[in-house]
Amino acid sequence: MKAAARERVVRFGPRQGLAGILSVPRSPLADVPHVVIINAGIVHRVGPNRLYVDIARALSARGYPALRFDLLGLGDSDPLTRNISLTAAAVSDVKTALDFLETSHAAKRFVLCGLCAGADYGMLTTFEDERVVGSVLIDPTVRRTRRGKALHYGRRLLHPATWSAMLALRHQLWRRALGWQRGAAVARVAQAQSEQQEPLQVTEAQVRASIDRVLARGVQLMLVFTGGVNQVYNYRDQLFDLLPGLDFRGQLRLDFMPDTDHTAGDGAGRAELLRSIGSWMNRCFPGNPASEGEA
Amino acid sequence: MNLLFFGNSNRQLFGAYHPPSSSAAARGAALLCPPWGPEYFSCHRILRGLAARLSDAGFHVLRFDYYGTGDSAGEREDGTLDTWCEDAALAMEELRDMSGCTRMTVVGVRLGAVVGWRLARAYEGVDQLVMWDPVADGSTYVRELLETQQKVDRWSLSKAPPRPSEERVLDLLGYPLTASMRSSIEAVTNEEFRRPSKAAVMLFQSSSSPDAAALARAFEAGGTRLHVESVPDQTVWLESDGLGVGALPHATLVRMVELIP
Repeated sequence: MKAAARERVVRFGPRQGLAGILSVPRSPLADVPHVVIINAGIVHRVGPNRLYVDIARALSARGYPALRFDLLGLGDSDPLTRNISLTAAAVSDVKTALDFLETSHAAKRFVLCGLCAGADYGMLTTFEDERVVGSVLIDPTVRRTRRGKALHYGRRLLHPATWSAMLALRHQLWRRALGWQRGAAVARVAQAQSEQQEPLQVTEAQVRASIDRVLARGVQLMLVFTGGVNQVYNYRDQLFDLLPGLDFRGQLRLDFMPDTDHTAGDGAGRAELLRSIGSWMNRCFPGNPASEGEA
Repeated sequence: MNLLFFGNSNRQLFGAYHPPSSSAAARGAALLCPPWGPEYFSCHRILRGLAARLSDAGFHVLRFDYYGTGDSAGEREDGTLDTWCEDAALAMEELRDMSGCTRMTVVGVRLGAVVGWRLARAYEGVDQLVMWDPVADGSTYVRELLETQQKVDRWSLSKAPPRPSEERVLDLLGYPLTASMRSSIEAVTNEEFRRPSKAAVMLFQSSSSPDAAALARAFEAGGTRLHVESVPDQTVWLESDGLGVGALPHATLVRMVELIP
């Protein structure tokens, strides 16, 4: 069976240092944005458990061109040599990808898509770049709420694994309390890692104002929260508690998928996520059938 | 480095070709066979690092993705250990075409090492095989993946499906393990390595690997020329805490490039 998209390698940016794969639909829609997919953490452009390949191909099958690429320092792109923050470098690389598609593929509008760190970079780029008309943000960084904390600790308290670990003296609380070697070593590494992590250089008020501004620009937002982040986001409407009173102007699609893991690695969760992103794209950016020359 | 697609249009495979550094004397060609599933991701950066070092040392190097994995065509459910071997043979042909080298070294990691072993036995022209923590027993490998998944499920607050299940496809650590994939992997036993091979084998074994001694005995029983190296770094696919994900096992890569003739 013929694939729904042709895929080709693309190199772009300074010294052609950025590498990616462009999925070009065999039956493209006209007047639709190009989709640009941003690395999740340090996983290369294929995405965790191949999520990004599936998203690119699913969207191409619906007529949307999709680029998955590696930020500098990741995958098959060149090393990052500039002395700037990882966040600033990522946003700069995403803009370089948009420039490339604009110049070489006559793209005018873009939808950004990313998981985890990729979602954060996607959101920050959406704030800054007016060419972005939509964003699919899967498990972006959010703050816990008081209700969320109560739910989380309540569920953990009632979870059989917690009790069996407590009774067997294997729970991390024991390790911490007693300073056992392995637990202490792991805790030290985790602490060191968290100290190295770069906090997003924005305040909550700035985020709220920025979201308000992109909504006023007409940007469509799709936010997905999976069970993989249920220690942080654990009830459907948590977003509205985090941003009380914010008018989303009917431009928000919120998917809460508590039984799917962080990378939608399981077959059913993956299929549901792909279907959901696809139908959201069709609703927000229906486009038109392309004429012969555009195919 | 040139990124490319190769193979026929119905079964396109993705590859990354690293030509030899112009400043180094020509040393030959090396094909890198990746692991499968969850181990593929922790290995991508390591194989890129190895390819760069081999290229600096004068090798033509090809990394590639099996059908249904990475950037290659196909779905995650497609493929078995046997089709991955066919993909590796196709990649070997591609590397021969690009490099002009008829003889080569194959480096395989985990299940990729089994792919490399079968390639070396089935095809002429593989002089040297580097096997890095090979999967020596497929049933044990699948059981270990399942146990890791069950540990995740035990702590999960989400509704996890029963594992193992009666379903044809078992979701394991974010990857679908189909019945045919599973039976092809479980068919790997130590016996396989008792068969003779013309290629010399360099076995890179992490110290925590329980299979090392039995595996070495199997190769020796088959009369395979064998060199065993102990891996000093903590390799990411054998970690329990995942704290070193992304770390390059520098000393191992340097040693590997030194030893490949």
